[in-house]
Amino acid sequence: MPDRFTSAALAKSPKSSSQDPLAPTRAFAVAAQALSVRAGRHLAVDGLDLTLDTGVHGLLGPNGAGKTTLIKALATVQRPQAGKLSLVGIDAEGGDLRELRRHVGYLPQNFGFYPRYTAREFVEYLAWLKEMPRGAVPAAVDRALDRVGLADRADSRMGSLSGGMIRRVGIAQAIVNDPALLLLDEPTAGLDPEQRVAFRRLLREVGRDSCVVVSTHLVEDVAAACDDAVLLDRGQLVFRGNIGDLEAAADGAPRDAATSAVERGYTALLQEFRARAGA
Amino acid sequence: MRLVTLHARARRAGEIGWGLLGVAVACWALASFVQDTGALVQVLGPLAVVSLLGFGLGGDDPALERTMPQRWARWRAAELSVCAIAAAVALAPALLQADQHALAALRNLAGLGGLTALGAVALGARLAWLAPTAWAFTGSAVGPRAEDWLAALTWPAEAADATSALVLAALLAVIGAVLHMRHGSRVIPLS
Amino acid sequence: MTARLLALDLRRGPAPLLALAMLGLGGALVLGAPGGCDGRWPDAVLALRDAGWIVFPCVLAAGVWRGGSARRRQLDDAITASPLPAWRRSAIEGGAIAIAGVATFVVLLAALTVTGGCTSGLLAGRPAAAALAGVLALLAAAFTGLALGRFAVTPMAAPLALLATLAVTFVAGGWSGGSTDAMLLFPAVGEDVTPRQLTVRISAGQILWFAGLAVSGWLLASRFPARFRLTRLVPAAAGLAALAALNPGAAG
Repeated sequence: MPDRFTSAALAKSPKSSSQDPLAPTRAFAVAAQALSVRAGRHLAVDGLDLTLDTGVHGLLGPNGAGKTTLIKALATVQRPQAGKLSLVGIDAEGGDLRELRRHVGYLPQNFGFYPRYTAREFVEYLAWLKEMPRGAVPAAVDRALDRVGLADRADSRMGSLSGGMIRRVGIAQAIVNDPALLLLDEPTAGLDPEQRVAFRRLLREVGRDSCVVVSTHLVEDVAAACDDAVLLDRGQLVFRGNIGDLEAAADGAPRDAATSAVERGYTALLQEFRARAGA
Repeated sequence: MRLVTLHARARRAGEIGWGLLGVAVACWALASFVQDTGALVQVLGPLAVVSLLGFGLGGDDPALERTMPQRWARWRAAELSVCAIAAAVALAPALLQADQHALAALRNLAGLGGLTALGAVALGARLAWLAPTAWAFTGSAVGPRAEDWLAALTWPAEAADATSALVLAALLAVIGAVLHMRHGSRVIPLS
Repeated sequence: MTARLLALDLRRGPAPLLALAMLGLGGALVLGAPGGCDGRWPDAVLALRDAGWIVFPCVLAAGVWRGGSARRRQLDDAITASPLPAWRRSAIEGGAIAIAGVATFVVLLAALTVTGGCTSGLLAGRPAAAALAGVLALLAAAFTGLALGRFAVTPMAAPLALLATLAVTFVAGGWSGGSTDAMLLFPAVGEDVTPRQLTVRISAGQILWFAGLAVSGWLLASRFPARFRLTRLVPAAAGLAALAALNPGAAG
């Protein structure tokens, strides 16, 4: 892969390794090799190689890039059509899926809920389904709701909450079991700026001990909260590197007061990738 | 116990329970006060019951549920067992009045229940009722055909002693239960 | 624009599935019935009207499903905020269901007429009036269902409405074999009713009743301000009064 598309700093970092990421001696939180996943008839993820470890990783890309499909594959909602996938050291294909799922937290892009549940009951129900220790559930639910700023609305029915609050309840259920792998698909949709700032703080806190993958097309969220960024387009890896290198990709591109350096870098990388793909 | 309670609510047990009560009262009233309604109760009673229970065969987000470390096959087996018991209890008052149609109604409960489970697998929990309704209506429209091969298709309208009807209903019950336990409700519902 | 929206609803709503169900059920009932029409068109109309016991609830259920679909998909607010008047929206949604139902009814009647050779008395006044009453009954089912769907918050409303209508039809029809006055409220005819008994007076009464019910259903589905809620039932009440006035005796 050309240097332009792989951060030199990342290549030298202790997190990257020239060893086979699927080898038992080295368990990345996420290790994908030649991963292909379909969404309906469309091949949404196409031969992806990716390793992710502890930290907060932003998953960027335009609409239809394959972000949601990749997240679904990492959440074991969808099975890959080809390639290998290992999650928290467990083979997603032939390994113990129940054990794997105990260590995963997942917030879908849209999720259904029983409107008569209170927020507390909804998070509690999912905590039980995640097989958390019985005695730990009530405190974990309270803590999760407190971390998303909904402690005062814990006993309100889901049907009476605003869209942003419902989103935060969704985040609460994803983090209630302190997962080793946290997958968030468009988590800030519907959140106001104050809540988004609080959410970024939460991400950094969780990312200290867990692998967090945030799928979003809000580059400012990635810039503010993520350790590195993964850029996808048409199911393929366009860029993998830290935020500084993403910004540096904009060098030479015309400056525009309406866009940030990260946005310019994002756009420049996409344009270059598409030009190379079209050539 | 707490998980079971929350799970039952997630499956709309309360709403379905009230609906079953209404169906039980209506079927009992039909069988008790309107003459010669045995054949009607034989089809309509089980159909109403399984249509309601079908809504409980899946949650509001099957995809999110699949990411949970649960042995969902066991959960579904338990759900189907509870559904079968609830259905029998709901229809019992009417069946006690329905004389020779009672056995046919129980046969229909099993067969239409299996169709509902298949409907949940293919269409999602909210549309699961379409499968048993389509078959029961078609069978009733054609009418009992005990003397020819069509009896296998018109099994909901057949008498209790029609062997082919019993066999097909039993097959549907088993196949529907096995497939539902294995696959659960459609992950991306059609509605 | 209305025509385009209607075409979209016909393609993407429950109308195609309803038409398929009606063709299957109605066809099984009518074309598979022993004896056929004996070459008489009035008997063909009667056979199709009798199929109403199964078809009418299906159309009603499709209307209920369509009526609640915006709320189920959380599109209610977006649609309410659009400039399209609610009455026009209801006309389109109910119209699509009604078109599917009526078109299938006409197709089945034509098929029965042709395959059964039911040409004697073709388009005569009495059976034509009975056929028109059947058509309007389907219109009434579509719009009544739509209104029910707007107000029913549970997704179980469609199957419950279907089965309840079926049960009530049978009870009204005096399941034991004799028709009752209450059967006039439904499109189905009793088992022992002959074409001669479906007089023009009876059909005229039913036409007015079903037309009134359809209008009331449309008005209720259109969600005019609450203070007008009771007035929306006036067309149905007027239709019922007309039916009673035209048919003070039994149907037989």
